[in-house]
Amino acid sequence: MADLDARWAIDKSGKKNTSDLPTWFQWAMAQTPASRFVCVDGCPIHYLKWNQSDSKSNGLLFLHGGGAHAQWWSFIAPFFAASRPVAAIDFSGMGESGHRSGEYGSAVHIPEIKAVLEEADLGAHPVVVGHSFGGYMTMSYAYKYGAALSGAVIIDAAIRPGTEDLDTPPAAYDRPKRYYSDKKTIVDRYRLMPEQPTNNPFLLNHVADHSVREETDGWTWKFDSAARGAAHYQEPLSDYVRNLPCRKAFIYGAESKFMTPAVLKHMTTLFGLNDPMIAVPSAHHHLTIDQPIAFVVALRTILSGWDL
Amino acid sequence: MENRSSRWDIEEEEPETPKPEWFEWAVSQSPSSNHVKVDDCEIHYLKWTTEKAEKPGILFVHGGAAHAQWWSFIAPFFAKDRPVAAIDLSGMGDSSRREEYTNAHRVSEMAAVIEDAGLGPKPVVVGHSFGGTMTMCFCGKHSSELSGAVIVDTFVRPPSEDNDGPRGSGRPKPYFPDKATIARRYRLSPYQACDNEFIVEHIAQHSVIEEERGWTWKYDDGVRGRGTQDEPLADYLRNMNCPKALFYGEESVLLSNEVLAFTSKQFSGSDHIIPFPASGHHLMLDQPIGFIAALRAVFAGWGV
Repeated sequence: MADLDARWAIDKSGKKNTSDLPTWFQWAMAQTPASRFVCVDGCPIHYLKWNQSDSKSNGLLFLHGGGAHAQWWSFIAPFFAASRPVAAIDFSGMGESGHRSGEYGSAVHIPEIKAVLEEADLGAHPVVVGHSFGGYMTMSYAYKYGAALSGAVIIDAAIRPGTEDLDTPPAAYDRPKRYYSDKKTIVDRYRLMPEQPTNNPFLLNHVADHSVREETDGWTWKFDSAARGAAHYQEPLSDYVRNLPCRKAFIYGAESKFMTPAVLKHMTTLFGLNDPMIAVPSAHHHLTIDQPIAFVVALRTILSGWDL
Repeated sequence: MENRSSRWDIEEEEPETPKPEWFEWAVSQSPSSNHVKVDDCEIHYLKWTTEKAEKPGILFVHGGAAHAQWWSFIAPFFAKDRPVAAIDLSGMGDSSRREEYTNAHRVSEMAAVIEDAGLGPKPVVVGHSFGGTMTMCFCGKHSSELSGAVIVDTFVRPPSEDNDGPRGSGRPKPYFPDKATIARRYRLSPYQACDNEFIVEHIAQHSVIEEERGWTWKYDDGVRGRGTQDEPLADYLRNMNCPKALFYGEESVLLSNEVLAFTSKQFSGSDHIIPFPASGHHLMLDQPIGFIAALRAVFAGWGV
């Protein structure tokens, strides 16, 4: 019985035998980024930086989705860091960045992107890559400052025809955060938003592990409730994307619930004939979790097509 | 002892590996089976149904001792708005055999299928391994008739290196009593492990044929190991009059710093060289969705 108990205890600990993890993931995790901060409008903004060499090539800045964080990119970024500087931001109110007392939204996040781009030595003309909420921030940022970018890559951020500047933040995000007794309980509660099936539970585990922290009342989510849902609302995103002053590409999940025929039809009108719009088969909204290697090779090909 | 042998039987007859939805969808898009006669040899090819053929077509070319069904889980993802075909080169798949196989024959076979399948005035050719070598040979003659060429894990070597000589066909083909037995014996060549067992099983099912003596491999022994050492492949590659891309597996058994450096030299700055992480030589088996996404990105960049 003692033996049996011990075996159960191992199973329950939630620690996977590292040999179960794919080699590529183990390699990527071993490429430890530097953890840095830059102060933006009185708020400490955290970012991860890979490749500390003095590379003068144009770098990449990855922008996470709503309620997410820079560690969403830590299994992707190393595949680009051999030849260029790469960074991933934690927006204020998320990840390891500070929380703000005022409102969140592109008005505060755009200066954060600008500050990290300047601080992180990402070269004269970096590329910004943003998923979901980070995709909307990419649209806003590149519309304003795109002349200094080599390109903008938007991932599964839907623009619905004619409605985007009327949308209001969903009220559900106003709920206060819950606290949990221990780390395992809260990590097990982690869900992708929107929920979707995933074949790579180890990636979900990884992002969940970095989504939580212990406070006086117990374990809770790192993100500031107020930071969720603020986002991009009441901005003319269609105009932004249509008129970006830099090259642009769009990558989306062929199974993403946001990519309805109406959305795709509308978004096709915003991109030029030579702007890549790439559907990743079998992938849902969180396509970097579903198809990480496919995402890496698609982005590599887009960058190669831009001579980067 | 009896118990143990019956357990072995059970293990050997394990049910097929479960297949993901995307794969089931792709292989259910049954292509039509077509033949065209080239230099007195019946060449077989698969052609997928196209909703509207508004974009340049694609010809997929398989590797050594392989066949068109190697592309049957990839091709349907491109067939919505362009004509797509996959060839069985002579001596392989369901094509007929020849007394002797030359690169000139293969080039004629590819040209004939491009025309017969209606792939349009400027198609793209995508060739894996030996099919990549044939794509280079094809481009030596016809590159201005293409919108682009995509070479998948095929490398070229400096002319001094004598490592592509004829290896001979070696042993005669074995025969097996039934289909299940031979399909289980199927191995990728060059051998590599592949996490997507269901793809290897699918390919194996289409690699075998029943003859009078039993079940055997479809390919003609005479096609194996024929060298291409007389062809100036590096020159063909460098002098192509169409855009080109190289996909390679970062874990490919054919990869070395030397061949990659020499092959890369034949590509210009505007061409693509895309390494695939977590992939071996048969990279579209290792990362099928990645292969599709990267190929889509290549086409988008070329405006095709």
